[in-house]
Amino acid sequence: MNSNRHQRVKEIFNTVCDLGPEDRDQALDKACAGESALRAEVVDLLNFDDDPTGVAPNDRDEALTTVGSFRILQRIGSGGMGEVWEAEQRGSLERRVAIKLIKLGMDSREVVARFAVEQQSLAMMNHPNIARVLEAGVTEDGRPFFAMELVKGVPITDYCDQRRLTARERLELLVQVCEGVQHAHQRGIIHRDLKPSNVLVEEQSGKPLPKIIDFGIAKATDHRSAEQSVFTQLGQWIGTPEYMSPEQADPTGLDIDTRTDVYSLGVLLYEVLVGAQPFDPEELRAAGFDMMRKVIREVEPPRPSTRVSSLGGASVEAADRRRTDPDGLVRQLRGDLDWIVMKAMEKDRNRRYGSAADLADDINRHLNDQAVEARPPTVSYQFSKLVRRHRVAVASSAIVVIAILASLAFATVGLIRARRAEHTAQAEADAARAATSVLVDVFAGLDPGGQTGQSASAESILDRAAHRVGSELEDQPLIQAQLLDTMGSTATGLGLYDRARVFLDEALRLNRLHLGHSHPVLAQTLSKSSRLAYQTGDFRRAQLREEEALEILEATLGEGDSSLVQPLVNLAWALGRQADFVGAERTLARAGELANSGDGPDGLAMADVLFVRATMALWRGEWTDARIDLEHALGIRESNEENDTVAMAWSLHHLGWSERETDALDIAKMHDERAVSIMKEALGPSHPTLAAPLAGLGSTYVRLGDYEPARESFETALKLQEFGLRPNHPDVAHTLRSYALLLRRTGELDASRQLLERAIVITEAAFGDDHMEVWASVEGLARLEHDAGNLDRSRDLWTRAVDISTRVLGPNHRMVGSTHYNLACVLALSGASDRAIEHLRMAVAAGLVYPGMGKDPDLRTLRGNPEFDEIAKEMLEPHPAVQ
Amino acid sequence: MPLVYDELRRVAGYLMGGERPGHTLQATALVNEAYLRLVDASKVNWKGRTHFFAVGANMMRRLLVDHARAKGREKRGGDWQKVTLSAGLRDSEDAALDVEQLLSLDTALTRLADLDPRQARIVTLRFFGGLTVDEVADVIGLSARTVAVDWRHARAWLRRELESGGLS
Repeated sequence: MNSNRHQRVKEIFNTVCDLGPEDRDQALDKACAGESALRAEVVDLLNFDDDPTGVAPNDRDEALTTVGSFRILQRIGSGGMGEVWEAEQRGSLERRVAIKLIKLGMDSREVVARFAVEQQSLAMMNHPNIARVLEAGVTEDGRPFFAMELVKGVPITDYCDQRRLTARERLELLVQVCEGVQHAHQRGIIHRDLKPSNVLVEEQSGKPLPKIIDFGIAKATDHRSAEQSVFTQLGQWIGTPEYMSPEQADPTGLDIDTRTDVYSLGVLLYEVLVGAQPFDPEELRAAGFDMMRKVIREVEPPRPSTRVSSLGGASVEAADRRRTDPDGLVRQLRGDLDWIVMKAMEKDRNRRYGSAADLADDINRHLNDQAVEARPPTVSYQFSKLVRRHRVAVASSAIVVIAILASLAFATVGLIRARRAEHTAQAEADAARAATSVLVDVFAGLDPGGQTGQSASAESILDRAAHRVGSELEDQPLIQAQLLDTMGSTATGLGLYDRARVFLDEALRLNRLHLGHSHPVLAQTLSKSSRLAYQTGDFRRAQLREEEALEILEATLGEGDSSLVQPLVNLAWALGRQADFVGAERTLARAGELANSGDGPDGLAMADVLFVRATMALWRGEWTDARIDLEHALGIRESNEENDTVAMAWSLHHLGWSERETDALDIAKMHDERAVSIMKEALGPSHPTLAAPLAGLGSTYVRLGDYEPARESFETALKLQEFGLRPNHPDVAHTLRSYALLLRRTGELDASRQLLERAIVITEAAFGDDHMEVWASVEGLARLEHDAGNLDRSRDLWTRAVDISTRVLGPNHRMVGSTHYNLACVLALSGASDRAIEHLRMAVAAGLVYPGMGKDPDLRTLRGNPEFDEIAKEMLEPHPAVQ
Repeated sequence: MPLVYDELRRVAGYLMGGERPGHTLQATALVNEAYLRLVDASKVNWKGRTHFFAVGANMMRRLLVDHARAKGREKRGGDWQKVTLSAGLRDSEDAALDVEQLLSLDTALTRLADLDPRQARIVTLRFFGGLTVDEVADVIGLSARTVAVDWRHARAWLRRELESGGLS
């Protein structure tokens, strides 16, 4: 045989292979033209020919019009082995069915055999919650098929959400699904791919009826050649990763059994109850194939109640779809339902419910207020197993805490070792060992899946750690102090302020007791304590603590040490928030000098100093000064390839603020948007700090007249703060004020008033009366009442605003002047001309320049009054008393 | 692509690790595994994958054959895991090939390549790469029709080769 010959044979073969027997003979005779050897060759090959495969399958498909007693209407879908068509029953019944047919090109006997088994098993099933098999047979061209009940319904998750079913109602539906699955299991059929799209809910006589469909990859349990791999060609999964059980994700391929379906039921239950999947599908798929399977096999997902909390703003929607609020939902899920779901989702299938019926029973017990069987068992996880979990890059605050604790604590052990140079090696070893063992115990007792009945939230981890540290390290007070210091700052970072205070106060006490009052380690803890106080809005305490820390550092390191910069900056913040701008300026000047001599004028330390100064300028309305400093700071950060993206985001946010106030709105928007996106990237979308740049963006939108995007930004910002901060946190007031301004513009005056009144309450409580934050809230409300036409109220508010600003800024500040002006306007409108003019004079004296005064409609009644005209003229030139 | 080959070898070794003899194994699953380990599947477009598999298919064939030869030398197929090729050469239920069958297939394929390199390539891509007719068409740059036609003939030809070549 040579190549040419081969080609000829091929050609002839292809010409004749589809022909019927008589035609074939004729064609062969013609093509071979007497070459008998050639003809024999082709005939021989034809013996080895199968039914045609992969040849124009589409043509054949379209030709299909009837199958059995059904008329094909349209293709619904195609699966691994077969295709699904919608068809209608010929004859009087007019019933619509789904027909499952083997895919063309797959007629090998193995496939047919498998199909036959599936068909048989499905025919054995007869349960209201399983789509029924109506007829089975063979098509005209010899392909097997079966006709199933066509379910016109929506996936169970969608149904529950659309009807806003409560948790109880959802559970009742799930019980029915379990019963269906149980029925199948009893007949030896495992579904293997239970997920919402395979559990459709129909309504029959107004009542919901879940129906499980697509047992298409079901396998009878006694089928021998169970595929070990769950892959088909080109990486298509059989089974969907998010619902796949750990044993399915294991390539060494344990047998699948009925408990695989129990796992999937658990995931389904999870999603129906919580409104989110246990593993974030995007994260799962983005992690790559290998990692994805690892996650499914090894990582414990958060419990349902915990997952709700972690949804942040989205939990409000989820709760609403269950006719409750987020707190209510968490309460409903905590306890029984958490345990039931997690038991169904156990990695080790021996610890799952043995059957779908057992799961259904436990759900029913819960619904009847009986004790459920899913009692959390006692488990002792190996330390190594935990360590292995850490390597999987799945975000979870519990793991974050562990990681922080571990790395920092081990680092501090080294720190202690370094500082206590005079100690013997033995003591060091003991110290290190003690710390290690505590941590090991804490980690070893951890149970992120919640099986020991304690949640693995950051709170409980820290609490357990604290307990251990307290009890087991009594003879190592300095190590105790270090660990508590670390835990305190971790807790602060996570927003767990009460715990943080406890930890840090105790750390301070231990440090003072054992190190004296002038030790650098004490200074470190004092700084952390100051930071905590600042975060909670207690600026006075923040100031005092930081001052104490500075004293120690100056005494031990010297006044010119550049590590004083950070504490000085912190102190400046604390002073600024208390409106002690003089003190803040002084502190910043010092910090600036040190930064200059330390990192240099373009160092990051300088950027920090500039940022504080700029922010205080913003608070005082000095927009241009602020902008200059901020641009400088941003430049430094960018050229240093700043890793602290949050710091960059803050600079951008404030820069946006300064641009907005000087009406450079497009530039402002650019900065605001960048600030939001950088911060979101760095902190995640649910962090309360994101509220600040979001509110800034919102304010810019308001100025631009884009009211809907503005509203969205403010709503989101408020939600983040409501979830992440305690309710009276002063930062909330900022958001409220900005939002109120929008509502004023859109005419929603009542809503606006509510927000502003709340802002006033918050700022009063946080700052007392003499603070510009209170002024800002009062002023906002004053404007609102002015717009609403409540002149008396407005007047009282403006009067108050004047008082506050005068007390805080002194009588000669521009902002005081503008407040006087506004008061004057209201007075003029209510007819109190003399008093109006008085305040106008004070406005001028304070340095207000407003050329438009003469034309201000609010002051109409004053025109013609000679005193007024005089002032108006003066307004056109700046008063010499201006700073 | 030495990196790919190493990965494939590792994957094949692990999957064919064989504590459980007699298990069928899908060759395409091996290439799948390797591919997905090496490449973030979601980011590579379809064409990229197809071409990967095309390359992988050849390597897989070499791998399996090498492995078979090594095994063959040790024992006569005792703990050899049967290999199922994705596009069933046979119609019987037992569509798995043992050591000798695999080696014979390899030999036959090599012979086919002498006569019609394109057909041999198509067969390799389908058997060892798991590509469909359309995908093969895309890789090689022909119409699906042409590929289907070549394939059909090649299949018949191989069957005849293997049967008469002394396979049971």
